[in-house]
Amino acid sequence: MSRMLEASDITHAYTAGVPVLRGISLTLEPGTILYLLGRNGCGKTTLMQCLSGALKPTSGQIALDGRDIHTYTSTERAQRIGLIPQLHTPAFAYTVREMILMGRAPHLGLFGTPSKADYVVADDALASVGLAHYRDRPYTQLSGGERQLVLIARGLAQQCRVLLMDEPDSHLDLNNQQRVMEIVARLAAEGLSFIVTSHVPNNALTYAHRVLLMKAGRALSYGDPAYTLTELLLSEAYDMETEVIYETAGGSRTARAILPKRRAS
Amino acid sequence: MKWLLRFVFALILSLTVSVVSAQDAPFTIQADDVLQPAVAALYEAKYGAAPVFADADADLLATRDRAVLPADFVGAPPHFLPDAFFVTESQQAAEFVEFAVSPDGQQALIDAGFLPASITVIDQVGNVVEIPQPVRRVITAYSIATYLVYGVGASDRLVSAGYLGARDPVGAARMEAIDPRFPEVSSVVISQTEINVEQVAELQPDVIFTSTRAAWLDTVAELRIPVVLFQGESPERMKESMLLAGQVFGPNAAAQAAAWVDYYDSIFSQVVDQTDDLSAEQRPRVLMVGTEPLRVISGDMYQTDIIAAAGGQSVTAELTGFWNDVNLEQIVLWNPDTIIIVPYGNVTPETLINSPEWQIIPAVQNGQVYKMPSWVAPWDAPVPDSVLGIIWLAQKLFPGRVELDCAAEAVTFFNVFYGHAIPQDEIAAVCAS
Amino acid sequence: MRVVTLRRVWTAAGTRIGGRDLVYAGLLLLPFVLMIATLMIGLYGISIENVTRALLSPVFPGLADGLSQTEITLVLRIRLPRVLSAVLIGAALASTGVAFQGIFKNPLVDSNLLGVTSGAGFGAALALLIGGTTIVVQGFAFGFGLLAVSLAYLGSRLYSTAPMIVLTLMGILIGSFFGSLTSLMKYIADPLNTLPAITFWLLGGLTGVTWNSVPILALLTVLGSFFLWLVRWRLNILSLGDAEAATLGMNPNRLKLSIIVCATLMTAAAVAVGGVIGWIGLVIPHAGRIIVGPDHKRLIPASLALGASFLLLIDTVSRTLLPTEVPIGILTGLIGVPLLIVLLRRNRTGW
Repeated sequence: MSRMLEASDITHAYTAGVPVLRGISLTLEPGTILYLLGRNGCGKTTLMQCLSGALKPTSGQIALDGRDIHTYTSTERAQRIGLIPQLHTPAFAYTVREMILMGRAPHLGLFGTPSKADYVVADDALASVGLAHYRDRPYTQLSGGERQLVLIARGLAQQCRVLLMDEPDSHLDLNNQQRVMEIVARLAAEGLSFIVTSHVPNNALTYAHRVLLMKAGRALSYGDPAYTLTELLLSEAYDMETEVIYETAGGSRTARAILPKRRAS
Repeated sequence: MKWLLRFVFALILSLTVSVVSAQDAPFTIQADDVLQPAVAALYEAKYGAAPVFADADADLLATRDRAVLPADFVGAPPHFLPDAFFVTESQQAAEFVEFAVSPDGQQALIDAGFLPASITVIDQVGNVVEIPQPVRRVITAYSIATYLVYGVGASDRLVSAGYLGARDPVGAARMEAIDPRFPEVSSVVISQTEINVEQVAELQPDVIFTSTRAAWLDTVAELRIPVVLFQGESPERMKESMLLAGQVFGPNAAAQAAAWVDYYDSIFSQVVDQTDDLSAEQRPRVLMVGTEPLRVISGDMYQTDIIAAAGGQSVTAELTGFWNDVNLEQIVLWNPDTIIIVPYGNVTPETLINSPEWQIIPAVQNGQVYKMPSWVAPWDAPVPDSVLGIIWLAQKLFPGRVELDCAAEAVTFFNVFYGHAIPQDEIAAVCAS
Repeated sequence: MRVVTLRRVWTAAGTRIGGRDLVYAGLLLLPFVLMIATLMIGLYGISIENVTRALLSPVFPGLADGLSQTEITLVLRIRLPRVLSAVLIGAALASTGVAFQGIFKNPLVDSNLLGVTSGAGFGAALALLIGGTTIVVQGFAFGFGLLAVSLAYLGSRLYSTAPMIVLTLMGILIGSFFGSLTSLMKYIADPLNTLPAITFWLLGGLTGVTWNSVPILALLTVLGSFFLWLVRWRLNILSLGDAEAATLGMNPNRLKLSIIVCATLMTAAAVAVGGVIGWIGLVIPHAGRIIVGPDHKRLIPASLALGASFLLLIDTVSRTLLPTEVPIGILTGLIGVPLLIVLLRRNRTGW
């Protein structure tokens, strides 16, 4: 029960003989934030799709609460795993509350509509990301950071225990990145688990409990940020020289920042 | 001496001519001095020789005097000049007469200076159109105009034509009986709305007939082919249409057109004479419906005038434009005494009589619902045959009051203007429907 | 473990009735009010009392005493089926327009996107060409409407990627194919006999509607609307796209196919009776969004009511303004555009 999501030896190839994921294994425990880092095209998105159950890997097992993820119905799976997509603009100007209510879909029948209880869940979810006063605003008129928070609230309304976040920090300014990730961190502290893809390693340094550093479909390193986010591994993962800035206080040394190194010209 | 020589020379010449003529032309011609040169020109063109003129008892009479015709003669005898025609009973001469009214005969008279090489007509929108003569090939891109060409006796010059009413097997069979070239002529149809200019050019028409609604006039103007526009939506305009069509095809066609106008006027006045004194209350209220039960004629259409001529009054005379769609409440308000359905389309009297909704119209309850018949061309449209529609309608509205016999007139009409004998019993059944 | 604690901070839905709820309730009542009102109106003047008595006479035969057969027939056989058809067709076109805009994530489409109207137009033209009766024409229109959409769907199955985009493209292709076939029918049609009938049908209108047309239209519209009403909230999720719908536990393709089948049946039935009536399926959904918002939970019922009311209003003007019928196509624009502009002024949210 402590291992909510467990992937073992995942390999996937869209075209036979050209694998984009090779032998990835990971374990997600309750209340943890797992960051997937790596260059564009390293296989993060494919791995996310496998972990969400949308894509069945060519080989390897993914277990959700100890059971093969593909033995769940799509509704059952959606009650356990939610996906927070990258920011987009829907075709219609739904209100914030209507957007969040959609998270109730896995808990309602095909012909069902949200009941009073569902509205309560949605409004609570909205309150817990701090946007209660935005309830009746059109989603399309919110800023990027606010939309990201609404999508998180929708994941909360979905009442699942694992939330997959696809690049939550893209298109957001520093303030909004912090605002979103602080809420993620708080929700993790309350027991929710997150898998986050990101192109901002510094956020992993700040918020991750686990990091999977990927390169060309393989796991370069997997584990505690202190062991994965090193100059050597990061330089290898991103094919560039990086520098990690540490802070030393009370005898312990903590990494505080990851910086690119100037190229010698 | 001089006088004697001249006489001998003339004698030898006339003998020579007589010998030649006697061999090739076994018929004699009677014509006055004025007409002789034109007849001689035709004869030369046909037989390559001079004709033999006789003062009396000739096989062929060329004259300008209508008094030679029987008193009850309907139509026009074959005209070779605008005011001169032939009368004959000889088979040999008939062939010559046929040549005389053909485009080749026209050409001979043009060459000899008796007819103009080009004419100018004013069409029904007022366009001045110059048309070189003779017209050997005509396209009618307006199927009403096709019947005008038949009416003036120039159907042999059609190269492409649309035929109203000849789509169904019955109509097509009748049309083929009238004109064996019908299948060939109707195989290529140029419509009012769409045209393939190259197809038109390939048909090499001397003139194109169409309606004022044609959509491609600018395109065809590029071909420099004369285009004549027709619009006959009243009796007067209908008569103009016929005379205009007659003008285009030369003296004989013009004479046939004039004869049709006379015939039309005589029928029209016979009917009107018998309906003229009817008061407004005595005139039955007529509703004429089209291809849908709820589609009615407008006051601008020829059909309204036909109804008036036959002694009725169209309840839709106030409407304008072309066909109008209405609903049953309006028809209840109009309260027609008689409902006439146009000859074409799928609507029949049974359509209305079997409809529960139409039962509230007294005309339907009283069985006063008729479908106007037709032979080929629809009798309600501005075509020559509409003269029969007037007779038929008058008899439906006032049985016995109008003394014209629809079937007998139809036989005469088709004999004279289509040159075709229609079966007596069949037309009687059509008229009685 | 429960992540979201059920703290009641904000008022849940349904506990407070606002102005918008009143507007919504009024909108749902509107078609019924308009039906009664428009039954009273016609070129042939019948008093309100007599119309009421005629309407109730099938149930209380005594009320027919003193009414003329003309009044009874006009009310029960002419006005009533026409009013019902207008309501049903308007409701069908507007609600299927909403459904198609939702599943295709595009506010600029209507239920003709996959070629149902073009197919139906061809079917009707073909039936008229072979001299079919009203029932045959309606049957052909309905059948070819379904055929066109089926062809578009089968065509799209030839490709495995991006099925919705290929389906849309196929719909456009099949639609123009049947459009060309209709032009061909018009080209070869007898200009005096058949062509006017084809043109008349393609123009759209309810001039000749009788009870014969109502049963199938009513059955399909009621069943179809009921299905759309059942899945109305799911349309919200479908409008976010396949990937997001899937992460919310849905099988988007199966539901979308069901909605397409349902909307196509409804549209084909509407087109078979009323001919090609444009504009409603495209514009009424927008009017609905302006009034009740984009949430399909309310938008589907609202568009049913709004479409029904709008076509009923237009058709009543069409049959009473002049002695001749005013084509619906003219009135939808002349009346609909100003109405929409007024609504747009009040709209603060956009869509």
